[in-house]
Amino acid sequence: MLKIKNLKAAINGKEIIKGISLTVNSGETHSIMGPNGSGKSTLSKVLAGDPSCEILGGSVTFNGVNLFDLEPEERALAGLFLAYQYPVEIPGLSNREFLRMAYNAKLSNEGAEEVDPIDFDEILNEKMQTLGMGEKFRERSVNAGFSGGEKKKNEILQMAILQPALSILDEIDSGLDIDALRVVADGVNKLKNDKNALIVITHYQRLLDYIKPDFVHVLSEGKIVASGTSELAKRLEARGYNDIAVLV
Amino acid sequence: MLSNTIDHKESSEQETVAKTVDLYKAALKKSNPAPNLFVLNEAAISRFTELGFPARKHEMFTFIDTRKLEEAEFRLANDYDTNADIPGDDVEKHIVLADGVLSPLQPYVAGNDKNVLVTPLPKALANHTLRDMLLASVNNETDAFAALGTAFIKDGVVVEILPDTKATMPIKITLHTNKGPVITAPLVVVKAGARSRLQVVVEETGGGESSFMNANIHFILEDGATLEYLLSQGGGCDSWSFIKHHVTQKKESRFSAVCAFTGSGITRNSIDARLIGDDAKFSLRSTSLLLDKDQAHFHVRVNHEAKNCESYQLFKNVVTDSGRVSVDTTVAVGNGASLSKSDQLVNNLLLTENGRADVKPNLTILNDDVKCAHGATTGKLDEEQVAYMKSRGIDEASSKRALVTGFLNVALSVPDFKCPLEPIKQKLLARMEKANA
Repeated sequence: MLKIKNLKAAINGKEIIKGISLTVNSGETHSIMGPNGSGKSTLSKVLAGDPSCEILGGSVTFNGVNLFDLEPEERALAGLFLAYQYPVEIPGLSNREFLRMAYNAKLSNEGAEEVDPIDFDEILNEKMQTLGMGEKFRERSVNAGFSGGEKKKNEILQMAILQPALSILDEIDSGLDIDALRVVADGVNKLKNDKNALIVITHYQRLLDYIKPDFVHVLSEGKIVASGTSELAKRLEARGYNDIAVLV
Repeated sequence: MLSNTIDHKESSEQETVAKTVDLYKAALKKSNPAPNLFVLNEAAISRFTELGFPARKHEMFTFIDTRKLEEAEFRLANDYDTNADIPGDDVEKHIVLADGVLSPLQPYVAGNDKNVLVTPLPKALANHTLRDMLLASVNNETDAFAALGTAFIKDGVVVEILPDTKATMPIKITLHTNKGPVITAPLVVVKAGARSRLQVVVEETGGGESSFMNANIHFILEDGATLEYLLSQGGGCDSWSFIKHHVTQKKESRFSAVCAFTGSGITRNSIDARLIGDDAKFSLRSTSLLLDKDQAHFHVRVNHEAKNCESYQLFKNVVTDSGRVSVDTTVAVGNGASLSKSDQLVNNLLLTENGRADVKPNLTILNDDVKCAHGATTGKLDEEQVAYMKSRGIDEASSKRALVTGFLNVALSVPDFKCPLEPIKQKLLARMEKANA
């Protein structure tokens, strides 16, 4: 599904990603771990098409298509979804309208007929119930005034509506208490199947107790320095990122 | 009725005043107003003469090029053809002031709610309390155009809700201006009795090329009254629309206003609110979407004159093309107005390089025990918001349109507001489509 080969990228002229290669197949869950500044979030931004990122080299294909040929919205329509570490607030635009726009953009791209507000409400209600979200989320402005946990939940609701092929979850555990973490992780697990894939970016092994990865990669100074199974995450938890050299 | 014109391309301010007074005198001869109205007209033209024609150097009109008005060739509106079509839904259920003249009250309006009294101004002025209140307002007026508006009043309407009653539905008032370079001066007085609850919707329609509507609207809220007010302002292309609001709030009264610029041309919305009773609360939310060469100017002064009063102001303006917006707002907390709270926030979105936004938030505080805040922002669309929407598959144009709509909607999100906001939202959406086109 996703093939990254020797990817190099910079932000504001500074090289952050210094040669990453990674393959993600359908049905797989990959976790990317690493200390602050290792390039985890930059990698997610590069994949989502953030205009602040400059591609210095390498290639990324998504279902056989050169990802860099696609605009950010085209990447989303192709099935790539980024759950933001810091979801953006949009005062005045209701969650319902925002989600309907996104859902209709997807339908339109697939050549299907767009849904009207009433039909969409049925779809939205079902997803919200699945994720245990109250009705207040529907009318509230997108992420405006949401708590940290509510924002992350809202990201997962978007994921549930859009059902992307590949979801990149950028530190969805940051700022969450234990209960909220469990709720968000449960939501993600409900959406997981053998046709889609996940990249879970996190600092902590704790999230991986809930979202079980098939592969764990350790990122350091813009490169993947170690790959393994969930055992690798446990070793990191025990020894800390200061001891990465031992893992290499 | 009159063929006289104001034609002052080269005249000085003094000459403009003199010629305006001449026009006023000619108008009086033709209209022959009732004695009580005449007293008001006379006081107002006298006050206008004292104040003078406001030039741009005048602090109250810093952001408006009044020379254009000085140079315009207006004529006084003829009495309006009451058979003519007034645009709008269910207009037969509205109180209509067409070219400043009250159309015959329809049975629906006149007799719909026994707790709400609707009276033509000349008849209502027989009540000397009302007349004296309006005279006092004119004599203390600092806004020359408001005084001028009162001088040219031919007619008007007084709406009164009785104490301890609730209106069953909003009172809708249409201010219609005919086509052509006419000057009109409607007057509306709304009196909310003690502990009453009323919603008032004022909509401006018409306003042909170079017309000038110069309206005065008075709100008097007795103790414990709650009044919600929705204004849809703006006439046709190249028209002028000035509305001066005079708000007087007594003890524990609540005034909540939503004002929207939904038409075209050049508008000025002036609000002078006096919170004279303890625990009064004033709230103003305003939203404007300016296209082409539209201009929307706001001049607001909220006077906290009693204890424990609160005021809140929020302006959300979007400027496209060569549009121009200005917000000049002052909260003045008097010596005895302890425990006052006030918030002023102005947010402007400038979507083009030729657009312009001026903001002048002011606080005058003469009491130590108050909590007042003000803030203003002017900028472009938030690129992070655009990127976020695009990351969900929404194209850039749709994203921006939704963000602008959301920006404007913030001012239209008023908890428990009973006036119908949906038509305003639809008008703004229609203007958005026009902007896209």
